[in-house]
Amino acid sequence: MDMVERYIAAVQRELPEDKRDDIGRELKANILDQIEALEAQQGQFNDSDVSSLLISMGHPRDVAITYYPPKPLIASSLMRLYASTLYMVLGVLFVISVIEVTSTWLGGSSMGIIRFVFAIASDFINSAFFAFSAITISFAVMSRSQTNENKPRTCRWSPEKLPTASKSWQHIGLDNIFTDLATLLFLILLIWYPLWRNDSNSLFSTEALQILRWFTPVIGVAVVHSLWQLRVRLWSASMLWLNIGVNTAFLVVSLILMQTQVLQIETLPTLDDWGINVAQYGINTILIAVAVISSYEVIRDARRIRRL
Amino acid sequence: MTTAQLDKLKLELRRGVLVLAVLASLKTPHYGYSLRKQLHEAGVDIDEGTLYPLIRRLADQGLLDSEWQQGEGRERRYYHLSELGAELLEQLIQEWQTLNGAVTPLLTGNNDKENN
Repeated sequence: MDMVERYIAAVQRELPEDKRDDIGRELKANILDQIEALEAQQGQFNDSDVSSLLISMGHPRDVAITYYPPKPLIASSLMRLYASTLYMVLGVLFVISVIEVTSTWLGGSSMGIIRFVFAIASDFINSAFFAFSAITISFAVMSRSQTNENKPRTCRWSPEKLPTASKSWQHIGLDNIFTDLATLLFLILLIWYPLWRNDSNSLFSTEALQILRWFTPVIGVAVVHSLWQLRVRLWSASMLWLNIGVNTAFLVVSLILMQTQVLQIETLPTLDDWGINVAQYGINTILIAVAVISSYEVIRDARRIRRL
Repeated sequence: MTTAQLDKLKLELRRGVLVLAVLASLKTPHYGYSLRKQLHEAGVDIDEGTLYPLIRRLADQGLLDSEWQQGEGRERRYYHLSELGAELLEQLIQEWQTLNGAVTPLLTGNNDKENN
């Protein structure tokens, strides 16, 4: 009997305080019934038989779970909303980290590309850790307070107003949107940084900077377009046309910049001739990549419009 | 199909039916072990790890009433169908009969095809 008492106590330890007595009492009654029935069948019932019976019932923790199943931290009805919120907030934080670290870098901080990347990662991880904890705790509280009558309500909608999305490629991934936003905001920062920090020089030559400043409204349009994509999350013909326009502009500007000296050599005093050549080569490679990617997106979107 | 897959599907199939069987059996009061014995004799095998928590869950939902009674030198918790449980059982029985009536010809049809 001592073994049964110990087993019940072990189950009770895994239960919440207010359930222990009631479940323990019932479990004991059930075990004694089983022992009684087995005794009637077998005649004698020793400690070894009790042990076998308890083993067959399962580990005390498993038994406790069957009597009182643990509630998930986030209710399943809130899980999609939780994942979307996390994704969006972390995406915004990544963009902010890129802007902050780039500001420091352009402000004269002497850091190489590896330190630059590490600085972004470190800044992002710090803020992401806090955001992740805050969002998770908020959703856990919402899950606890949610009853069957108080289920989260979805926005008003009607089947007639749902957008047509017959092609799988029409769905826009959040990762694509945030990558675009981070790249565009980074570019705006690079171009306009000297304007609000009078003490620092631009990385770009005067000619390249002039071209890029004229190009800024297009980048602004692309940012607004990305924010609109966050809202609709679906490619339409008009959005594809706009994307073709933006990418064509990127293609043209990258081709023009290839014909000019993009970097201002005076702002790179720490580099020797070889370093300057590498930097120029790097910029040209980036411009070629931009031209190739923009061309690809123009062709891709033109084909998609025809298929819509 | 693996045994694990089959077990999972069988579990899903049995889950709702077991609730029906338990509610129907508790028109007369039973304690845990006596209910299990009655179900076993009726051909419904259910292990104690499934049955006892199921009875408690149904009681928490207000479908069963319970009371502790002394008998044969020790206490036992007797469960029986509550008023709400009885109402719901009637509706569940109708649902079961409708489903059974609809599914049986489908299953028989499949069997006929296989035999042909």
